[in-house]
Amino acid sequence: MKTLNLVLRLTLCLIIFVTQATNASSTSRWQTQAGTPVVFYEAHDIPMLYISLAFRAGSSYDGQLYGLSTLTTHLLNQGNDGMDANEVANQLAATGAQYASDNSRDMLVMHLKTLTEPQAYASATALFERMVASPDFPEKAFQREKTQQAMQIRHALESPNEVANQAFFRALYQAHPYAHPVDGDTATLEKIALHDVKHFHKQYLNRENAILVLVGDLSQTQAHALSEKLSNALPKGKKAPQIPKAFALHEAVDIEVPFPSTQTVVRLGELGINHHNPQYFPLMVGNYTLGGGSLVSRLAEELREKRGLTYGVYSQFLPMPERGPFLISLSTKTSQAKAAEDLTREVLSDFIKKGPTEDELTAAKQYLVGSFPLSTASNRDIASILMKMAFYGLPDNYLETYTSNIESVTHADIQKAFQKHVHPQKLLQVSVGKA
Amino acid sequence: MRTIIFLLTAMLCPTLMAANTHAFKLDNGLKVIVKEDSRAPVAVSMLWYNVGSADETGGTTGISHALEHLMFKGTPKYPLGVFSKTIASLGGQENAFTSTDYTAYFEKIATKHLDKSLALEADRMQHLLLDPEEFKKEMKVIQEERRMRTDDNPQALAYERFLATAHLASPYHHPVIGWMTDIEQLTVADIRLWYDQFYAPNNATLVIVGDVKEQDIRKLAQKHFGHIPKKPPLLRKKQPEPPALGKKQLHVEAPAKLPLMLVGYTVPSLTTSDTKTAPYTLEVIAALLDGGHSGRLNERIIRGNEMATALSVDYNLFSRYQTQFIVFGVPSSKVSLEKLSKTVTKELELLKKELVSEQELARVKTQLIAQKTYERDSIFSQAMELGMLETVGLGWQEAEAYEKQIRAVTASDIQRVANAYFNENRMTEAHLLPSEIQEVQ
Repeated sequence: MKTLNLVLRLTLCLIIFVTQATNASSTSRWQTQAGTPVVFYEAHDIPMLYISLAFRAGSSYDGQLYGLSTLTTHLLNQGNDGMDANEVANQLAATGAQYASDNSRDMLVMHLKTLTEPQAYASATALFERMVASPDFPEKAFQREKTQQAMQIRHALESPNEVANQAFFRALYQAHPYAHPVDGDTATLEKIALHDVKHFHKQYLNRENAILVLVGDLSQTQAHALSEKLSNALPKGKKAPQIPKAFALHEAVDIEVPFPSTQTVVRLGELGINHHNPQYFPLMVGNYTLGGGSLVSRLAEELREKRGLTYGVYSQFLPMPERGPFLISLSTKTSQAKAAEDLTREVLSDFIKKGPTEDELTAAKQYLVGSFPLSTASNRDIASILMKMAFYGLPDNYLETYTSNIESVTHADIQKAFQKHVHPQKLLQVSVGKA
Repeated sequence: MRTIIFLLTAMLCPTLMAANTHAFKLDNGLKVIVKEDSRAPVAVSMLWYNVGSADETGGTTGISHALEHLMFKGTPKYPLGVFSKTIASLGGQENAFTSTDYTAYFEKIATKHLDKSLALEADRMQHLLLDPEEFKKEMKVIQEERRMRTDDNPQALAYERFLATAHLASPYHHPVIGWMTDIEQLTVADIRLWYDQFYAPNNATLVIVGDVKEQDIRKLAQKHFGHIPKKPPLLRKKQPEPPALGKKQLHVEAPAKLPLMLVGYTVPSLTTSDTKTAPYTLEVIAALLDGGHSGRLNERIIRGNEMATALSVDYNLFSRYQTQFIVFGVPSSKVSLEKLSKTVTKELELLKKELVSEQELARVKTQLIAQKTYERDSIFSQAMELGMLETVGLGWQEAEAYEKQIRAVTASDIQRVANAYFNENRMTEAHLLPSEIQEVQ
């Protein structure tokens, strides 16, 4: 492939949406009687359904036991309602359904993809309900998953990109719960006991702390019935507390991590914004020109297209419930790392000072508005966007107003927003490689 | 590791396709496949060239991929940078990918802009600039790509060396991105030859899936591609492996944190097999072993005796040449690679001795067939499947035969195919050994 995908898989909110495709009339929202918010998008073209059940239970709720959210996530299907993990897996497979779970700094999500043919649908959703209601957390599975997670943590450290991401978050967030890696670290993982997992589950995987998204071939009646069942399967509880405030670094920080790689991997950035920042749209539009547009951004033009310094260079704002990072990512062979870093800083400073040209601003808007329909072309895309809207509390008319929000951004808005939020003198830089 | 893909459902939903898939050929030999899917006002357009790294020879490996990069570097009509900027200004996304068997370019775009994106594709099929200065810079980009993807990734390195050992004389011996020394010595004249030889309408397939009508695409295809002259057809020689003379083994030392085992067997694909039964049976065996949470490897070796922390199977029945059926495994901390390898091969031996139960076989088939329904959600996956099948010579209709072929696989087919192919003489085993972390100055 010619270009890279996003370098970091964070809890980023997709910034591109479509009005046409997510027809407002196909989307409905309600609360179950037990208090779980539900978003349903009705789509009958393919006999299938996506279910996403999310909880405010990402790694930022780990407390001091880094890795607890991940371990809990992995244990959700390892023995349920008296069935062992093999029974759960085999029974689900026999219906054709696919279960997956994942977690990030913010959320823990259980996903089920099932056919809607009546027999398969009934069996798969009944099993999913039992999985949601009763993870048994068997001792043997706990020990095994814990050992596996320790191996995952080790494995991640053989990637210079992963080492750079971890070092960047640690240095940027310090004592804040976003600082540690989502999978935790070996030392804290070791301390986690089975009762910690059970406690975490009880505290966060409850009906008040959940959000349910359904997309696919169901009637309104079916969707309501399913949402009531899943919500009732969850214990009562309360919504997770807000993430504590994160504070920006006071001065520039440079971190070098020795690593036996041929390239040096660089991360450059600082604290950015959350989803509700009033300058969200100016920053998103401006970032497209700076380093968002994969081959057409200024950073890509200067580093890759004009000089062949790197395969990919990207800048991103990653809004999170508390302020997520602004960061620039690149990698290049070690002998030219310094040149690439200097050039990146130069491009950034120039952009902050002057903002985009008129042509660049027009091009950014054309892309961001024009690509809107691509981002809701599949049920999977729609499920993911509706979850992000619901989870991060974006307004229900976010999709409908997206185009006008992009269109109304001015050159002055972008310049002002970048000057306020990006500070070339206070950047955190992480370099991983043979120094 | 390959992401584990879950599988599917029996009795249910046939994967209707034919009704809305259309295929035709222009006079100059360009094949066009159109699949109508009007859920969103967008389409994916892919142009597949029937050339990939398997067509390369020693000294210029990686040339198909290098040409893929240079296809974005302009023509007289649309100079440097114009292609990407034009597509972006229309809200489109574009990219390309190269494999052993093909090189493909795609645009995802609002249907109303297909006219423009096809004009751009047709133009670069004929008029690529191949400017020497741009060539030089892009070769540096490709070297960085190789460093990032392979040289600094121990598991990717092990996989590359595994393939080079498993495929002795066959065309999958060298990596798609090419050996670094070959990338370094490619010249713009080499690229020009490759482009002139393979980029022609009669060596390409245009696939469009989305909110389109066949009649409109016929007109657009004729308008933009109809006048492009054909070239002499590519004649591929068969490249069968010399007879195996025993099991092959290799060790790869790299700064990994975990060891990795790759056990592979030389097996046929649909294009090389005498019958279709063997490849479809291997497809079922792959799902039986690695069907996500429910596969035998997961149940018995990860959750059962806890000897591995990760296991997955890779087999592509749609490859052009004979290929490898590979099991990847990361052993648990106190288990050696040798021990894990023995445990895995024992599972394969079991397939030779014991018939798989009807219940387990039905479950695996259900998973495989349901996956096909799920894939209908993505216009990109649909276009990938059609383009790949047509390009490797199987014909896009093979996609429609999939469900029937999977259903036809029996327990005794599994036993027979396991006996035929999971033999030491066909085997290559690679071990990735974490090297001492060097002190860095």
